[in-house]
Amino acid sequence: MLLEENPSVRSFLDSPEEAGEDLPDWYKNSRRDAWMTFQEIDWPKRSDEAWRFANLKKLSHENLYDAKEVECKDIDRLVASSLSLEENAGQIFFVNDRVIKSPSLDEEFSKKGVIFKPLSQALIEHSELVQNYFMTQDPCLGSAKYAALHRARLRNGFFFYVPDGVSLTVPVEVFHWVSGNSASIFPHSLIVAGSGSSAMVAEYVTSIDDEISFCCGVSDIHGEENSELIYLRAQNLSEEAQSIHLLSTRAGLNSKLKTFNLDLGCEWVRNESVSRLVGEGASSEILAVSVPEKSQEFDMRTLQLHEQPNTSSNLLYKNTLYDDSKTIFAGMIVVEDEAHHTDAYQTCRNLLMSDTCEANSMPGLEIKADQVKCSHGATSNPVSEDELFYLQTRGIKEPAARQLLTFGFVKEAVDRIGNDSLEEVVLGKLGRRFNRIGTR
Amino acid sequence: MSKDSNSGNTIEIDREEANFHYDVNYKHDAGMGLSEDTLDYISNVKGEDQWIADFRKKALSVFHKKKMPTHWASEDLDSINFDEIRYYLSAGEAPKRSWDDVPDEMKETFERLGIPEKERSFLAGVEAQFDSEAAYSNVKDAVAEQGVIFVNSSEGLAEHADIFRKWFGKVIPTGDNKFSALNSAVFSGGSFIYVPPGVKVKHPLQAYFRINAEQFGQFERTLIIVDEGAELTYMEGCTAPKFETNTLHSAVVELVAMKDAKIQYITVQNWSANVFNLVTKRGLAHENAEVRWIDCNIGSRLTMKYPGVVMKGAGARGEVISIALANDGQHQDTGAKMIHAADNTTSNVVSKSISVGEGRSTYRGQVHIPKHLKGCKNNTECDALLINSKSRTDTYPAITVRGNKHSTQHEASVSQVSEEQIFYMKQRGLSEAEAMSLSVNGFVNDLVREFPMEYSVELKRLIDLEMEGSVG
Repeated sequence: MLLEENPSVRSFLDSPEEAGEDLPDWYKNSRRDAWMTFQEIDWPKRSDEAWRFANLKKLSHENLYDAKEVECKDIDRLVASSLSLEENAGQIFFVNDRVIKSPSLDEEFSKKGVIFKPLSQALIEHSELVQNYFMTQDPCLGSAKYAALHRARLRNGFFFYVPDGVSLTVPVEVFHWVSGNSASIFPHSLIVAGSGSSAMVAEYVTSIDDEISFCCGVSDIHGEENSELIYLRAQNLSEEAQSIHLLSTRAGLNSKLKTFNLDLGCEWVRNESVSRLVGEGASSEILAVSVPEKSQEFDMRTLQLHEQPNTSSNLLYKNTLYDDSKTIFAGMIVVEDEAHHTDAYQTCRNLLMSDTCEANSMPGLEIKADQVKCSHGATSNPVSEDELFYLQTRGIKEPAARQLLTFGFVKEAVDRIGNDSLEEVVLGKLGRRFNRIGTR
Repeated sequence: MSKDSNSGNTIEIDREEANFHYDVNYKHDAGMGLSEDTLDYISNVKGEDQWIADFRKKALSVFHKKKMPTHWASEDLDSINFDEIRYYLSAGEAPKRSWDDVPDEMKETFERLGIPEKERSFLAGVEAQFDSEAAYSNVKDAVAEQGVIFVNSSEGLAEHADIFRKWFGKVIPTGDNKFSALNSAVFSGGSFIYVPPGVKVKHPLQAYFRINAEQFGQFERTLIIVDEGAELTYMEGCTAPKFETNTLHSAVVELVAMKDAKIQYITVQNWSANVFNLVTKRGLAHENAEVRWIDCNIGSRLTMKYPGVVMKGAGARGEVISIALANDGQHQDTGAKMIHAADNTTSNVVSKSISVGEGRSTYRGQVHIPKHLKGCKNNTECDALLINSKSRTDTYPAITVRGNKHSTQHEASVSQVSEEQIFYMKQRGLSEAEAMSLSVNGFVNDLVREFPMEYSVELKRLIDLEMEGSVG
């Protein structure tokens, strides 16, 4: 085994550890408040519209514990075992929310004032800066309780700050591993792109073993005016794990934000994505691919909130469902009173690969402005017989043809990332998945 | 056109034609408020069997238990005060078979609305309901001779219990929702229709619903059974005068299409803007049967109506075609529910809505395809048109598909009349209002064609009128 466990067990439903002595007071208070808030809010109920179609039985969090500190003996092997970028501008590695290897950042960028540090360190060294952006976005899609839980228990994560006018042409990378039976982690990702800056971030959340685990993460992205940012998150936790991830983006004047979520692992996943367009001319692209199999349930809720005129957003979710898996997609586009000349699109496509899978789609629109172009589409279909036939006439055997079409189906979303090296990582992970599923 | 337009750039509906009421001497009035006594009063007046009285009481307790669906629906529902509504009003006379026997006030009402001419022109039968009870009911002899039964609900339950009791409350159970429970408790009026096997009723049957009294609730109950291989088209129209106070209309409509049967149910709803129109409509389609709802909502303050089809037999088909127009102070919350419960069932939903001024239109849909079925298909399209900057539109569909032998697609779009279009037409010499009207007519044109000719002409005229001065 790569890791050695240290004792110290605390259920995550017990009151959390106090924040470290050296952390700023505002943070300590926020943590305490969050724990109160967590206790005040009810758990999701069947009748909650925000949890419609969700199987609440899957959310039993009993016997889960704050992940213990583990000693990592062979970090290089761990890193080598995961698919990652060939070239990066910096890396941070966590196991069970603890930094296991000194973080790196190209000197070129650190000189320009780029901050890329574990959150625990950034809280001390850049307290005010972090405070300006920390948990400022309202978790409005049903998981306020989990957001409070996250804020009360989070141990680490990263803070990535790109100063005005600085461009990183190579992505930074963040690795999260979780290890041990019933371990819970609460990774926090805070990304701030200053005016006119551009950057890319790739984050991977992976299990080391096959144990039950729980991940309750928050990723907050702030794009200031004219900034450009791509954020990729790939989740491949164990088949027994549960994951809830709250992603929010705030796109300022003329900024361009793009997020991509890849979900492969976990017994139960809930992803909430809120994209706020708060500056004129802002644009936001929200992409996701998931390949659920067996009895996996992936629950995805999204909001595209247009607060200002001339903003655009474009969402594309692609799910390929095998076996008894289930997906829920609930998307909403809200165009506020003043947000005229908005373009907003939302598409969710489900490819049904088995007789027993279940796809639920709830694409929604709420439009209060005029001069808008909005549309949404949701489809659920099996692989097209015509396409299969075509490939077969070209000499490709049916199972292989089916696999090819499935891969082509998800690739449409991957291609939209628009960065070759990030796309390569995602395609690599998808390739492993499809090869393992084989020609089922 | 109304003169009291409150803002220059909204559309005025031609509802003035129906904005009048008569003082009627009601013989039976259940009074304000809702209690078991109200139900006893209704049962008494109608001389109902015990099972119906029991059915009403059970429904009342369900109604009290159910919560208002405000967790997902409009909070405007809370403005309904159930204690300030009269649940039963009637002149206490049996429906007249001859137009000449209808009391003068009612006759005048319906004559002003043009009911008798419409009947003469093309209908196979008419029922006209005035507040709680039918005032006039007539089926053309030729149709009656084929064995078609067309009566009001009280008569249907009393005299044809063998046919109607079997399906009564089966398609929409009392507990389906709060308002279906309310209707089950206090229902009165509505049509009961039976079409025997193989009979294809050539001309439509029509019902006309009129609310005349203030602070009143109309709770008609319609049950239509079309037997094997038979076909029927049914149309209903609704109007009410404008009152200061709110009026409630809460109907339950159940359709049963037996094997190979076809039902087409057409509604043109033009209630005045003080009416809460909360209606539950559902059809049950057996093997190879077809149920089509064609729905047009122009009136009311708040309409909540989601016609549904349960496709119970293999090869059954369900369809909802709807047009909604929401003006200032109106919320048209409409949609469709398609429950696939057998192999090779297909459904189609096409919804178009127009929001004008501060009007709000909402589409809510549900499509359900369970496991172990094969060959089910659904197509849903909803398009919304926003006319003014304060107009609002929402879309909330929910689609569940299990298994890989099906195919569903849903599409929605929101747009406004483009400036280029208007510019182009103005260049060709049309006024701005004419251009606007032409664009809006173009938007709904393919659906308007689904309505019978008389209705589609009327609809186009309404839209023309409403578009006057709406450009903003």
